[in-house]
Amino acid sequence: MGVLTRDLIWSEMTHPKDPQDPLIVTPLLENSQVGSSSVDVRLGHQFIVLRRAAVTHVDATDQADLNQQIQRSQQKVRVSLHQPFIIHPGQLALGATLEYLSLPRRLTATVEGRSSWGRLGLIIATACNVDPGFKGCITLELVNNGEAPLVLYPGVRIAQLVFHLAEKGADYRGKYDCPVGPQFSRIHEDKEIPWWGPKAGEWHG
Amino acid sequence: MDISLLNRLRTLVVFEVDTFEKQLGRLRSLHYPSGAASSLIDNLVNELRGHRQEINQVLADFPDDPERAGRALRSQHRLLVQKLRYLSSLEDAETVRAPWSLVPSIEWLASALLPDKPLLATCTQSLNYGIRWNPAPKSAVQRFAILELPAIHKTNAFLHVLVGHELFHPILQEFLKSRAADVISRLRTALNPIASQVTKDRFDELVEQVRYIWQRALEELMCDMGCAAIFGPAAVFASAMLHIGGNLDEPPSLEGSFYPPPRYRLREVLRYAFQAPVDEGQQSPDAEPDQSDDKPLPRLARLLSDRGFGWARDVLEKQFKIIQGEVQKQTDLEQVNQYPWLKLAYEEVQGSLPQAWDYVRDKAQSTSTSWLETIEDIPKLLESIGLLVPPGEIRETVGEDSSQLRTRSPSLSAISIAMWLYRLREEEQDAVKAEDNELRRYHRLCRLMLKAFEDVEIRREYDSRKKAAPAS
Repeated sequence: MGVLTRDLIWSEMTHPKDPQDPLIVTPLLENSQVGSSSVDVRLGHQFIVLRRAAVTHVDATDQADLNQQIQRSQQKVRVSLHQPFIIHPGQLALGATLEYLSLPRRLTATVEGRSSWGRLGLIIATACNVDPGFKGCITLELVNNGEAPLVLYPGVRIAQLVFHLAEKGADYRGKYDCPVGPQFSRIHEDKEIPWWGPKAGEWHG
Repeated sequence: MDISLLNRLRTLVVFEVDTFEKQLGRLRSLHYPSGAASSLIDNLVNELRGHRQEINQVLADFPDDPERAGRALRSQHRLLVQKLRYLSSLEDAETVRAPWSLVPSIEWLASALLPDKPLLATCTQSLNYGIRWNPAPKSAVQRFAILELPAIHKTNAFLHVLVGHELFHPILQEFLKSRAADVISRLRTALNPIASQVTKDRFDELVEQVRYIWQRALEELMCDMGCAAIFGPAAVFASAMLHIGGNLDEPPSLEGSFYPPPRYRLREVLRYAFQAPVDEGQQSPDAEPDQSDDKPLPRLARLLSDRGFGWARDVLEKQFKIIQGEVQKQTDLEQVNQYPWLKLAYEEVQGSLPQAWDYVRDKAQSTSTSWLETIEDIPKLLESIGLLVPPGEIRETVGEDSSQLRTRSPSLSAISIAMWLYRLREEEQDAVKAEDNELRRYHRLCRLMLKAFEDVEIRREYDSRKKAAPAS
């Protein structure tokens, strides 16, 4: 499963093997975003931040309350161009790529934070694998692991997509339907998770 | 007036100014999707400073001449009350309330059509779209036009095409005024037979009422035409979606603010903006579509067909045929013709329409907002939508062996038309299969459409800043 280099990335975007299933990264504001073995992606406008005062805890096995807990504890924020979004030390915020990705069924991608942000303490993504066939803006789990608050602006290059060939074509069957901003966690939709909790809830599999 | 009442008036006005200032301070801390709200707040703060100075002067004079001071305070109170509505508009313009990804695009369109009127886009708890503006602004605040979108349809991107209708309202006043004198003269002649039966005042009142019905109808029709001149078929599809929930033949009435019947509106838009046959017997529903390329619809149909989007051509022709079938019924006119005054007003409307269409078409063309200017982009956008990708970018291959991409923004109208064509195909498929996830699919398309508008504005901003930046 090799990494796609610049020429191959361009080839997937301009002359895909299957014209009905090309690699699309949009909007591509600069061709220079396509690097030697990755594509730089920018920070989008939308964020989800935690409202600590609004929730006691989050228990993923407690399906009855989890969705409500997540909705109550998280707040969507939209930041305009040239406006700052400040992430404080220890804070988790969900962001999303500005670019909408349409990943062919024959490619998979990983999201990697840019090292220049990492050196300031910003962790960009933890769930970094993108399934073949995924369509949407990619949710980024942003954590400020540094000592000082960091100021982010929509549009800055924040991460890189690295593409790999999938051994066999696959179809995305995930929970997220063409998202255009960060998505709340949908862990409550995991069918087996209640069973592992203290109430040993029903297995919905 | 008794001094104690004047003292109370003084407290009232001082309290209002103080609260107004505090409210503005709070509103300034909110997030807005563009700079329009901040600009309005700045202007309000400036004007409020003027009020504060005036009031301080009045208060200083109060002991000497309380009566005169009372008159001045009442005047200040009246001016403040007029400004109160801006506070609620600013609340309604907040990012969490407005369709934020669309707001910069609406503002861009407004700046092309209404260059002297800054626009604040808001979402209100109403089922209709609207616009408020001051035809003779005397201050920076009064120059602002306030656009209102229905909050319940905030994310319903397909309907928001109708902002094109609203943005034409302030444009048309000059045209309507220039035609009014001739219309009044003809109305007086037509109504002359009853002049001897009523007093002069009553006769003037009647002429004015018929003139008003004429103006309301013509204004709405011109706004519909203006929307169609900008958004092409998308304007017709959105308009039909909005009107289908009511009575298409609803006659103009005082309670209904003398809005023309929706069927009448659709008919005249099809007749003028699309040169489509709309009168009874002009074309049977089974007739083959017009193939002449000088008319807008056949031109779009041919383009879609030539670029391999035969399904989109079929959808376009079928949907227009359905609407043509509806407007050929003329049941609305039967209602209008039952009332002599309405009939008279609508005869005047019919006489005004050719010039009215020329006026709005020229406005769209002179501001480069006509949908026909970017018609070629529609098939390319359909390719993106077919892949469930937001149609906010046109991608063309460049370089040796076409190995790289050149990307650019499509127009708002091309995006809207392409999205509507795709949606109408889904609607037809859903109707056949009775899919239970129809609403999910509709929401998905709304998301893609709003993201496309957002991407267009980001590129516009990015490119303009890049162009302005000094070369490194």
